[in-house]
Amino acid sequence: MQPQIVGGKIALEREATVLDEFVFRFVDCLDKTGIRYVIISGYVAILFGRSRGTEDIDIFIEKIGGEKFSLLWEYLSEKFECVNAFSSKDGLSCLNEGIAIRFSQPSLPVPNVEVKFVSTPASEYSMENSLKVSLAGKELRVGPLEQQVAFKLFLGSEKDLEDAKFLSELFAEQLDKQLLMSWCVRLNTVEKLKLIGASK
Amino acid sequence: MNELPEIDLEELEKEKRLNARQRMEFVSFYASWLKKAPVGSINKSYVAFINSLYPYLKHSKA
Repeated sequence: MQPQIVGGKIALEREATVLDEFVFRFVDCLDKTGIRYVIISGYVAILFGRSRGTEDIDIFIEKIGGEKFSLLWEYLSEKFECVNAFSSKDGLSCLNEGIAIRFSQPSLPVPNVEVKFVSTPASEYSMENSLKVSLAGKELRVGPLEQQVAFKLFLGSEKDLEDAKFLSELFAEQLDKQLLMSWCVRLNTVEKLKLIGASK
Repeated sequence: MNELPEIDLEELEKEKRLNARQRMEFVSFYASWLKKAPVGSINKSYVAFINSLYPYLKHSKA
């Protein structure tokens, strides 16, 4: 069951887990509000089959103003509670200051979706070059895999290195090796790329 | 109270590196298995495992 990247899309043929459904519920609110987003980091590895848990799902969203954010807050409030902001105004202030806000199922802080505004060239790249992943009739946008692998190497914990290894092996024949190397050069992770055996 | 044993940090570091290498080998094995495994087997084992990690999460569709 090797996932195939076809024209920037990946179709996954499996059932959705409760974690996927949690992410679907969140992404539905973004879609309803017309807000662009990209999912990055650990959940990407889990989505593609890595057997491990996570406490948070990292999502970048495009920068938006108060009106659109209020609408998003309204939709989210039907199914989630914000762990670290108590009003739409608070939430937007946090995001504008570069502070992530977290949304969880009410009265259950874990797992939660950690939301940040796109604010750096790397996060902009991630959004502009995101991949569409379809699963159980839903669609999610995840960061480009070459960048995901390089960033996981940059983060560098045991779990991150394993995620990088997993993604680089699962998509070994489909990753753009030159692009992966370019990201690793930029992030100074070429040695770690060799360590996980993905530099060939 | 008993005296704590001497710890050979170099030995521990060696063991840590060995464990990390073995974990990497397992991740590699798992990724290869996943690529070849039939869809049905993924559904059963992977989905059940991930679901078991989140017993209190709602199971309703969006």
